[in-house]
Amino acid sequence: MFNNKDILKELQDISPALIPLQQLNVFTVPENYFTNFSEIVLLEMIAETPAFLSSEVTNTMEVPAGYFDSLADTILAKIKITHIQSTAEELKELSPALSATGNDNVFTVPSRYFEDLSEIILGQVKPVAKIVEMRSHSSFMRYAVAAVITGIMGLSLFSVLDKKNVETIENTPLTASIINDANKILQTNSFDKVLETVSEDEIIGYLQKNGQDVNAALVAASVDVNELPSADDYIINEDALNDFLKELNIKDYSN
Amino acid sequence: MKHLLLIITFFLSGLSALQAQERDNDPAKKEQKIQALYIAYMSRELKLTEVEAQKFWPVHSQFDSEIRSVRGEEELKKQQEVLNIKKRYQDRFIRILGNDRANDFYRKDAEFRKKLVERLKNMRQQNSGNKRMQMNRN
Repeated sequence: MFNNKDILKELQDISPALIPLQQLNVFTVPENYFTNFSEIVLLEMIAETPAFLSSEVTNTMEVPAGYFDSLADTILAKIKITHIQSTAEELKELSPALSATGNDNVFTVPSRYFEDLSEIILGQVKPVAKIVEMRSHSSFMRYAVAAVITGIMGLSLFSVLDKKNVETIENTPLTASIINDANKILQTNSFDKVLETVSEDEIIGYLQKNGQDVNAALVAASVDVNELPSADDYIINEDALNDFLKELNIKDYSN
Repeated sequence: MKHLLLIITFFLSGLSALQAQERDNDPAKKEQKIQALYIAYMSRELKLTEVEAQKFWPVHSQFDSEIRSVRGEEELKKQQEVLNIKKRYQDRFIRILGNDRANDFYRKDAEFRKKLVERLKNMRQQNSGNKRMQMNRN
């Protein structure tokens, strides 16, 4: 292996110190090295051992005679004394009230305590609100009420609408109140005064009911026939009549 | 239940308001005043006695009802029908009022309407004048 030049060269590069050692057994010991080896080691160990180890070894695991005979009793006696004392003291520190009770039974109540308890509590508690009982309505009653209300509404509307329709068709009948009013007008000779209180709508309504063309009547009442637009005027201007009415101030401008 | 009562109350009050409005706008009520004026005017102009009035106005009421019921598109036909009704009632008016006053009846009836038209014309002219004045001010 060492003869390989490449290996030698590589070894020289890596570790030149190993070159002189080639083919030399480095794992050799002097003669009789292991013969007294243990003694030599022991001697050197003793030489390096601390003083307390180097002294004579004594048996430290010894106990007094009869030690284990009374050990359990001794431990239990000590535990008992320590435990009782500490609990009482601890309880006294934590809760003097509980400590004061001692061994008394505190869970006692006066006789008949629970029998009257609910009444006593209810007597002390004030009522929050008045309790109103819900009356259960039968569905028949509900439908009946709904039917009555609908009927009232329907009849009311019908009466109003029907009345309106009838009035537009029928004429005003000659009633006693009309005749009385007429008598008053005659007696007080207040025809013109009452006429002044009649509104435009009332007059138009009355005239139209009597088949009168209100606009034509107004024109007729307002003008001399000779002043009306001539036939030629209508040919020239188809709004001739409207213009003429405007001039007369009788056309209803409110419309 | 409270809600229901509230709804009914609102409905009834609305209805009564509607009926009140209807009464105010009641065409029959409106016409009553003019009817009263008409009776007063005709009674005065035709010099009706109490007995005559008791006979005349029921007949006139029928006559008026028939005249008002005349409807149609053709004006000539309408006028013809009105004329027929007038002819039919002529004898009855003559029997109550006599010849002269029966003839006067149509004339006085036309006069009354003319008074209404005059009143309407005056109102419109007044309104128009007021509007023009307002426009001039503005």
